Amino acid sequence: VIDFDKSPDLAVQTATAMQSLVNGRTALIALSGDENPELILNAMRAGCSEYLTKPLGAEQLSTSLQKLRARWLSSTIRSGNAAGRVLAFLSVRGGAGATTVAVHLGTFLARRHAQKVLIADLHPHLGHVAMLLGMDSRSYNFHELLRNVSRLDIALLSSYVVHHSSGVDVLLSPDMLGETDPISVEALGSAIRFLADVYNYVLIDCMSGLDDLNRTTIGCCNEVFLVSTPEVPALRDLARYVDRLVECCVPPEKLKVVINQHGSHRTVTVEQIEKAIRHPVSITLPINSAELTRAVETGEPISPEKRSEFASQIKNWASTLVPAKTAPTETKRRFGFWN
Amino acid sequence: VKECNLSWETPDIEGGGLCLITAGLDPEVADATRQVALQESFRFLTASPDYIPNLNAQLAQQLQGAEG
Repeated sequence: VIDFDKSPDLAVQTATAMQSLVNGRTALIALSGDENPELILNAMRAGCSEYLTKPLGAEQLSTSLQKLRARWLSSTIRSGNAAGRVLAFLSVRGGAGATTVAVHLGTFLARRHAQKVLIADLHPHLGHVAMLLGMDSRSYNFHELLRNVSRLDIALLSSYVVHHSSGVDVLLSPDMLGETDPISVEALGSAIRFLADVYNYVLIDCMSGLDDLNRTTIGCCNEVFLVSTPEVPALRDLARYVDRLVECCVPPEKLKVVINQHGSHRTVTVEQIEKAIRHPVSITLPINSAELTRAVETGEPISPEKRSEFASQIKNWASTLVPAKTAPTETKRRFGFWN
Repeated sequence: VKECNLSWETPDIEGGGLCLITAGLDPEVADATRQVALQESFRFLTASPDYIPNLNAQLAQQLQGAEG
């Protein structure tokens, strides 16, 4: 914790010295009575991730330390030897399609590449993963597991996980509206670490926003996919998310932008989007409303064998995630004169 | 630290863990910070009443042994 009031210059030098000494393993908190944006910016540039104002309250500091602990737990996970990759999906606006994208990528990884995949629905209420997979969502859910994380082992996990016919395992969202006890970020961090040791891929369907749970998930994951549609309001929100996450020191290479429902009739091009959000677009997915509507209505995700641009794009995406030695396992079709 | 009449400790930080350092804080604020840190299970490493733009060798060694 560094006081930035007595000498802002020396405070910046102190922050810089600490950062360089321990290679970024320090979290710096600036303390000041001044809320001047320029001073805040200088503190951030010197590596401070928190800016607290005087008089320093115990509760204020306590909250900051809890956040730092969560971030530390996350970095411990990243630097650990967890076998699996954790991918987070976040819609920048309702209906942008993060759940649809996560469900399809998950089922393609399981079916086409025989990967051990878990999709966890982090929504506190009425998440849509179960619906898209045609599953009964009245069983135990992810939030209940998070409340019991101190007892988490393979046996307990098995009692919470629901298996889907595609091969993916699913941790569902609560199926009803109601008061729920808050989930601690420590519990979420521990659960993600455990799950990444069990599965090759853990796909987390996040709610919109950047609350503590989402920030913990983003801190823990290997890649975060921001899903947007190419309309101007959604792109405005996307730009804000990108800016905020970069401000929060999320490495740009970890931040992947997915433009869903992108089609040739759209007036906004990928280049224009990239210019507007100052970040590259990693994946574009086509408009495929009829096929996706049918998938949602029947609870049957689009199959990897389906010949459509959407299926083809998800297939390509899944292939980029899986190590080259893991060849796709698909049913070969025979084309010839005799059949 | 003695001049500021602060009670502080330099715990053994072998094996890592979360440590807290303050720099340039008024003594009473540093002491309040220490109490919150201990309450949140952070190890309170040191309270420097001055800025430390050039970290001394001892502190540098302690910091390098810490996890965060």
